[in-house]
Amino acid sequence: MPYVERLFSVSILAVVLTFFLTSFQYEMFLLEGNGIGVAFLPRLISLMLLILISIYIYSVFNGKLLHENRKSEPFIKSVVAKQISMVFSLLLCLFLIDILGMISTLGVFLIGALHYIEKVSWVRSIIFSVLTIISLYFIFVKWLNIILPSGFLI
Amino acid sequence: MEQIQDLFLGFMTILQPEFLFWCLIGITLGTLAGALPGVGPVTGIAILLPITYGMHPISALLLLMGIYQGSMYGGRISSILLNVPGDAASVVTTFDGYPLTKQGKPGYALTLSAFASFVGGIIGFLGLVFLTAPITNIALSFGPPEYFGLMVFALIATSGLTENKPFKPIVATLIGLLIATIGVDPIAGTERFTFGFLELWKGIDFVVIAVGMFGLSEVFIRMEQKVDFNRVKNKIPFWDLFPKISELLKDTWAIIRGSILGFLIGVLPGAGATIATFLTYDIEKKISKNKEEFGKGASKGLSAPEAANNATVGGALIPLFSLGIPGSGTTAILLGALMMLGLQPGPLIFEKSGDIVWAAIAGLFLANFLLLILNTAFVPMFTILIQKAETYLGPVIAVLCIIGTYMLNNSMFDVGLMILFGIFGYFLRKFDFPLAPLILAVILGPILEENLRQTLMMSSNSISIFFTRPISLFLLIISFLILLLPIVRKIRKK
Repeated sequence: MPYVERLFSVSILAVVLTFFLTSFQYEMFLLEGNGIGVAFLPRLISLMLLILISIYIYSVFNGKLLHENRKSEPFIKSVVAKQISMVFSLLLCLFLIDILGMISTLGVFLIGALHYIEKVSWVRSIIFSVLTIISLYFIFVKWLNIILPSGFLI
Repeated sequence: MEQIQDLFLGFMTILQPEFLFWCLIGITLGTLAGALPGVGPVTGIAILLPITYGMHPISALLLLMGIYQGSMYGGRISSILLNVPGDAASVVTTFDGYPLTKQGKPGYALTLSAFASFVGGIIGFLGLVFLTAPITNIALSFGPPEYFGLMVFALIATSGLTENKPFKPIVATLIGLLIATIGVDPIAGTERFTFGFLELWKGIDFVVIAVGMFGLSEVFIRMEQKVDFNRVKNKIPFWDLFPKISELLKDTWAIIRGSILGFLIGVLPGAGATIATFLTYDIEKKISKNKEEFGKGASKGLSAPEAANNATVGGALIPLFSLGIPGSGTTAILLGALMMLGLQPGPLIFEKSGDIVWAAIAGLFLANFLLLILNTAFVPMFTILIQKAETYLGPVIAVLCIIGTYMLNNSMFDVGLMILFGIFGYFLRKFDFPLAPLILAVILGPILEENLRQTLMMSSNSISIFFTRPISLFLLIISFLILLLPIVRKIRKK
């Protein structure tokens, strides 16, 4: 999927460009030669990045970097589907934590991730998740005295 | 000797049940993290780092140092049994470790490598004890220009400019530096790049970035790489783990050579365990009378690099404690951990928090001793654990990442950022951008900027100050020479 790398390289360029343009809101040097301002370093870095990422984009769009010996695995549709499901489950957790509480939400997340993504049976997923969540509750809440968001369950 | 007295007090401090408990937990988790392909010391420490928040600093350091040293030991388990290295530094272990397994000697290979790791770890520890103080004394004379030179040197040396393809490491370093500029500027108090988010005023905590990039991205990577752990079932008879002493001692000199080399390489920023193991293997092969045995199960090809791998730990901790500069991704996260625990790594750390640091150094010795036992007698247990843990690991890492990030500031915004950095880290890894220089830049960036600005205030914006002070000039010249390395290499090739 060469398009993924193209999209990635253009996205980084857009972010760096935003930083570069935003840096013009701040001062580059302090008055009367009293040192550099807050914009100096970020503008310098973002300028260097803009040049380097432009070179990267050029090579990606020309297929030069696409043929080098990559250490990583190629994109496989079934795996990408799993990864996207994982991202959506994590984002869903962000919203559910306020309603169900952190411990319960992560318990539901574990059951779902183990069963649907890792293909573990329902029984094993539930047993493992319940035991993990109970252990985490005792370690973080009871032992380390961490206050985790609570909901209508825990 | 003052160091021995301090070390003795350090030992006295850690001999309390609470500290011993965290050391034991650290080495066990570290061995497991090292043995699980892909996890390794950086990810292991990154995932468990938030847990140390609120812990006693000595407990936290013993846990983290235990994970660091433990993962160095653990990396050899999957290399020897499966031919799958736990991390990059364990690649060399597969060269002769796996052939020994195929010859029916996995127990011997595991115990020999554990013994070599122990000797390497102890030599690294001794170097750490006796060399940290002299380097600290030199660093006491450092002012802002010298610190700026030191930060530039650390960033350039660890950014991968010494590698064959420095382009992506440089981009990663610059991205890290740019991320480090987010938040309220410490000198003028101006908010930068917060884009209207109040939560960004404090900047982005390095833990959020480290947990996302190393921890959560690992969850996505694991979905692609499945290792068949069933191949190692019932392969190690228990008594094979205890070979004759003479069989272990026959490689003594190779182990000592590897340890010294590993320690020296460990001290250099950017070199690290991977270079140490490859270089040691190469040297042992060159000086061996039986070169043809290398790659087919030569004991020296296994023991010397393993010793070098573990000796780098002590070496890498010297610049971390004495100068406050990390030499690798793992020590970068340890540096952040020290800051998070309220310690200020650098020349004053021994003056202000000597008791804590010496306790942590003493803990390193204890960790080595316990790891030798854990990595011989308990290897069958780890083999079963890594087989069983593989399926459940991804979702459990994700859960730990969420809880750990939330704990930092009780903020769901941080959790959202961590997920964002996890996705970003996944793509960076996918397209071969190294993560270590990025996280190093995030941690060193604010120190670099602060010292640059203070220096230019001192000199009324004149950069000549960097060239008129000998230490800063020396550091900048070395950095410049490293910058020239890829060009020199190209010319030599032609």
